[in-house]
Amino acid sequence: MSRQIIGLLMDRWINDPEFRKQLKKDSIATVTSMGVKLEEEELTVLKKIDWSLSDEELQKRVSNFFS
Amino acid sequence: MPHASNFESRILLLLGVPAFRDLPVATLREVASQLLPATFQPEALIIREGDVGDRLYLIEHGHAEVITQSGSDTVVLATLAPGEIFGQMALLFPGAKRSATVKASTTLRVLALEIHVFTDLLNRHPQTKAIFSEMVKRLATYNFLKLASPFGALDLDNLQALTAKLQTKSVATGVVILRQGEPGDACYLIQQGRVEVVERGKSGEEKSLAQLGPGCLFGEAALLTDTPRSATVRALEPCELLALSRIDLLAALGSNQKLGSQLLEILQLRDRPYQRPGIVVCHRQTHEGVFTILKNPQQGTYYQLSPEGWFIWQQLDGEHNLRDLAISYFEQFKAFAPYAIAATIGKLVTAGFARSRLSKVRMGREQSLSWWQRFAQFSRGVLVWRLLLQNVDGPLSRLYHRRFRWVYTWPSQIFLGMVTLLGGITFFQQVPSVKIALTHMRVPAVWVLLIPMILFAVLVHEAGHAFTTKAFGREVRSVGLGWYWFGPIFFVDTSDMWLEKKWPRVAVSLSGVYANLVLAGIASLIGWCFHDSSWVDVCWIFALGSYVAVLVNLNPLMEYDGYYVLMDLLERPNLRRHCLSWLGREFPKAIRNPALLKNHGLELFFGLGSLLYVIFMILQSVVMYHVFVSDLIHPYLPHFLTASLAWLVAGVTFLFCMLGVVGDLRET
Repeated sequence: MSRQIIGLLMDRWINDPEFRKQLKKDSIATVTSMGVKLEEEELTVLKKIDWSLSDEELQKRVSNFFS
Repeated sequence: MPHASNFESRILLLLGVPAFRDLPVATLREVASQLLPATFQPEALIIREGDVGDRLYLIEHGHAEVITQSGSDTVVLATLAPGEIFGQMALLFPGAKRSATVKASTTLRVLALEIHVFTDLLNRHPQTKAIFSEMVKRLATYNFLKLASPFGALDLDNLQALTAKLQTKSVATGVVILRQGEPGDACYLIQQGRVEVVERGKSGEEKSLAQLGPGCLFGEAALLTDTPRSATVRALEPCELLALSRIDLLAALGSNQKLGSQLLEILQLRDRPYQRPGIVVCHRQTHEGVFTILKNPQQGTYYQLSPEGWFIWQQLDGEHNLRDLAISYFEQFKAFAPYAIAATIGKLVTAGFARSRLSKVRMGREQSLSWWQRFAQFSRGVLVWRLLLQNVDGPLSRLYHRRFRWVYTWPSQIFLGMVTLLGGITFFQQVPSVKIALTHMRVPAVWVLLIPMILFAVLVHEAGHAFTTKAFGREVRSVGLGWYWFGPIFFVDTSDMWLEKKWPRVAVSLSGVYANLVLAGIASLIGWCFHDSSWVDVCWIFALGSYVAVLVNLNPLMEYDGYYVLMDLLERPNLRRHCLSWLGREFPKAIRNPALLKNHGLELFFGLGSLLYVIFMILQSVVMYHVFVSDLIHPYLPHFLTASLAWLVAGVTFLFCMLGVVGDLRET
């Protein structure tokens, strides 16, 4: 998948809430419905999406002493 | 609306339609004579989307709905009432198909005008034809707005009003529609064609930011943030645009919160966020790889980034937008992950580690909570609160370096370890003496000595956390006291230890209970040495109390010291919140589908353990508060009033605690 196609996908993704929903539901079908032809390796790229990055704000470390 | 069963009533009905109003009376009579009456039952289809148009309808009685399919959703485009016409769009062009379905919502009586009569009428009256053409154009714009633009969230009345305000604009290929740096007075919705958004950098080079097509809105950022245009937009092909002025855009936003949220979302997704200045970065090796911890020194907050998050963070320079980041991320990790990137940036901005120009937008977009969520939040505020004493790091540092550094030397630690060990052995050898001491608990003199000793033990416990944090060269932001669910707490904020590795963090968490073990050991040794003295009972009771406090504070099921130890050993930050949240959201699904339990053993066991422990403590507290209140007011009030008040306190305690539990499960 070329840089240009990722750019096109992103333009659509940013501006079209319906596309965002569809892509989350079935990324490969949504991308191919846009007329993008995918190679075997590129299918893996779409399947490999990690939706759950564990980045988060850390809770305060307040050493509560229950007295 | 008059019943149009007679001829004059039909003419009156036709006069109510603006397009027919100016027709000569003779023509009106001619049209009225050709109207065909028909009646439809509720839910009956009058027009089906996709069929070729052959007649238009004038509603005489009842209501109808205009609907269409948008993806998997059925969208109601309009609700029609008596006196309104429908079906005219497909009659203006030969062979044109219906663009929507019309369905009777009540029993519907209509008058139909066939296509050949309508066409003949328009051919003879160009002015009427012009009115119909304008009407159809407006309808097409309306349908476009409803179905393919961010304005679809508006209700039908506001959408109709907005349609009337839009100005159409045709643009040839290559024409610049907006120019970077100029003030903004309107935004544009693309009806047809494509545009390119480009930004000129400081050195003059142009960078393509996006290509936008039908349904996309552009130019709204300058209107909402009251700043000059941030980019230039030029047509890539002939375009049909709908222009909306700033005043009309703000009016539309004011009339519909959902629209505001949608536009804000688009703005956020197009934004170029940047790192907040002054953030401290620290890398930490874990068994899952290198994680990055960000520290916001102003707020005293910390943020963990995975290697992917760190990659994104490095590019938050105010130059790159989400599109750029997704492309870079794809090139680096070979994955297309706009959701994850957008979520990471959103969380960084919310937590105050990154900034966005949207802070200038004031649209009152606070997250709306339901009444129970607000009550659950309030309950959490009652159950967990803290009084902080801030800016204590300087004095604590001085105290540590001048008076307590020696405690953290090997000889001191060996000595304290010996005292703890010998004291512990002595205590368990002298259990009979402890039992005798407990029989003197009601002697007031015992408490005169015991209370200052307990307060001293609290002080030493917290000092243990604070000075151990200082021993690792980290900051102590605050100390304080408060309430945590079932009782009073004292605490030290050792959040700066997030920047350290696992074992130093564990050491700081254990240092408080270790300090209590040392004190208990000293008390036990004193009790053993001076066993003939009358005041040694206080030592045994103190030692016992200290050992119990150690056990309570090592309990990992609530956020006491033991919890932080477990969290650090497992390298699972925010463990309790994650587990309870998983229990609230995913566990009900996992009961129906046990396969979902795979890889969630920790969430299941810790979450359930924590939940059951809290419920047990709630029930225990309810009974305890009931007894306490009864004993307290019994001498002063009649029995029934005492009982009622005691139950009221117990009931309110139960309600608050349970709402707190629900809030934890729902992550409110």
